[in-house]
Amino acid sequence: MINCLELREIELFYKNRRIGDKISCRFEKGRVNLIVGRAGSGKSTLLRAIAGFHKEFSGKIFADDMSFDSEGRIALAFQNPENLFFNPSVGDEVCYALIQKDDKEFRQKGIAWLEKWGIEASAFWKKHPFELSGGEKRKVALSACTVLLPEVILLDEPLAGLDFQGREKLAGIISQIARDHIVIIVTHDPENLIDLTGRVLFIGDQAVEFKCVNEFIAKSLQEPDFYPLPDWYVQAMEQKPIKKHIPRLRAESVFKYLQGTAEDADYLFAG
Amino acid sequence: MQITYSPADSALYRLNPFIKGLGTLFIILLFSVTMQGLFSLFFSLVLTILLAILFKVELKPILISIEKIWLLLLLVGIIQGFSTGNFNPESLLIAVIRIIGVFVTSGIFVTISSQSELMYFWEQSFRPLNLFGFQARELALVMVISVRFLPVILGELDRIRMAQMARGARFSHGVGLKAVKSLMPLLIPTLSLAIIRAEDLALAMEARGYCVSRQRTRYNHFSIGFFDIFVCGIMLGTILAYVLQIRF
Ligand SMILES: Nc1ncnc2c1ncn2[C@@H]1O[C@H](COP(=O)(O)OP(=O)(O)O)[C@@H](O)[C@H]1O
Ligand SMILES: [Mg+2]
Repeated sequence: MINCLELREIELFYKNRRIGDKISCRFEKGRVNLIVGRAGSGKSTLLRAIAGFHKEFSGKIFADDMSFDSEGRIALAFQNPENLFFNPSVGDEVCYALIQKDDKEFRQKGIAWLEKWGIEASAFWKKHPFELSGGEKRKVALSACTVLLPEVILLDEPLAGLDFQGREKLAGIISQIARDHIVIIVTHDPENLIDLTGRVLFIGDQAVEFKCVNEFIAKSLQEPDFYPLPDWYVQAMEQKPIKKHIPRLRAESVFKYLQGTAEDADYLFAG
Repeated sequence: MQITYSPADSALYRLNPFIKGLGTLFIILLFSVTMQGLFSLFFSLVLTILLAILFKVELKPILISIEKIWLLLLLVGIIQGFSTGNFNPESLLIAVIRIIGVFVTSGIFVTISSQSELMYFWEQSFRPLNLFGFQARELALVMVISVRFLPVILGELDRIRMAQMARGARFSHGVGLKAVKSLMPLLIPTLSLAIIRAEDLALAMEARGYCVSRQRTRYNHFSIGFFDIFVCGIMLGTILAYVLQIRF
């Protein structure tokens, strides 16, 4: 098992046209790693490059300081993974990749993995994928995309298009999985994931920044042009100068912070 | 690089869309049936390209795209080369130049015709069908929408192929039914997305009060000008010359 995936001076190209600046960062196991940035900044392309689908890039990728070969060690779920359904049942959908690999234990493995994504196998195994709700579809699709249990899991906007509760639940599941996998997520909804995040890679117009989540939030608060945090959070935090610890992006934590009664659990931790 | 409409200003661009289409068909026909031999075919191709340059047509994407049909050129060329029994390089070259001529001509037509011009061309071409109770406009709309969405769907096919490979799908192994089965992960998502898109489009058009059978006004008015008549004259003259040459 690898513990750390390192990008060294990655530069992306599309047909010889350069996209964005050089990217260097280390993604670690244990907590979710986020990639944020404006639309068109090259986030999806970066995921594709790490997974070995986009070959036009310079720079090197290392796993635990050894050169990294993505073959069989990475799962990548594209945006809107439920568009890929083509099997008549949830079970077939989840086991498809295992069956393609002639895995004899596909059934047990499929069931175990689906349950890890918060879907009860006994109730859903025989259902048609199109019968599910939006949140269930997304979980089934993500588990089908990652069922080969690779060491590195890349998810492109896994929370997009879900309602707030759906996003919260899925974020919880993803952070569970991040405990024993390297999980890298591209997202436009950091609100749901930021509490669970270790490090953030920000791909901006001017610069690429790789920070632990505390520093990232602090910089976003200090420099309004850097990254747009939710309005309510920015306005609440304007009332008190930022100290060493920064409250979570939860109304309750911010409230306690302003009152001066916040405990450890109400703060973001340094990644 | 894709061959698409690339606007410019020249007499060729200002041609009536119907004459544009007619002229294209005419030149394509000329390339396909002419029996004048290698030299005159080659001369026609060079003339077509020179005229296109003269009328400011963006030729680069078309010429680059010829590379995409090299397999077709090779196959047809070899078959034609051997058509008289033993190998004849002249037949091979003739076949290749014919195909390139047709390809370049259609490419030029697509490059110089905007969406609404294409629509106008199809409408006018299907008009005789009105006599038999067909809705020419409906048919034209179907044509234009299919042509318009083809690149979108092809792009989507590519994305879905990559995404399915990322989750462990393998394509192109086996033959017959097995090959078809291995394509299912591609075909079903692409088709279902296309159907969803079609329904969205239909709803959006209906919401804007679109009704095919109703008489509509045109934003662009296409008239017949001097150059149109001139082009028609050249076409008629060529046909006449051809017929006369065969007769005598
Ligand atoms: N198929 C493609 N061909 C050419 N350029 C592309 C293609 N896909 C994306 N790009 C370019 O790459 C850049 C990054 O795209 P992408 O990685 O999808 O951005 P993001 O996911 O951050 O929104 C875009 O600015 C776009 O211009
Ligand atoms: Mg993207």
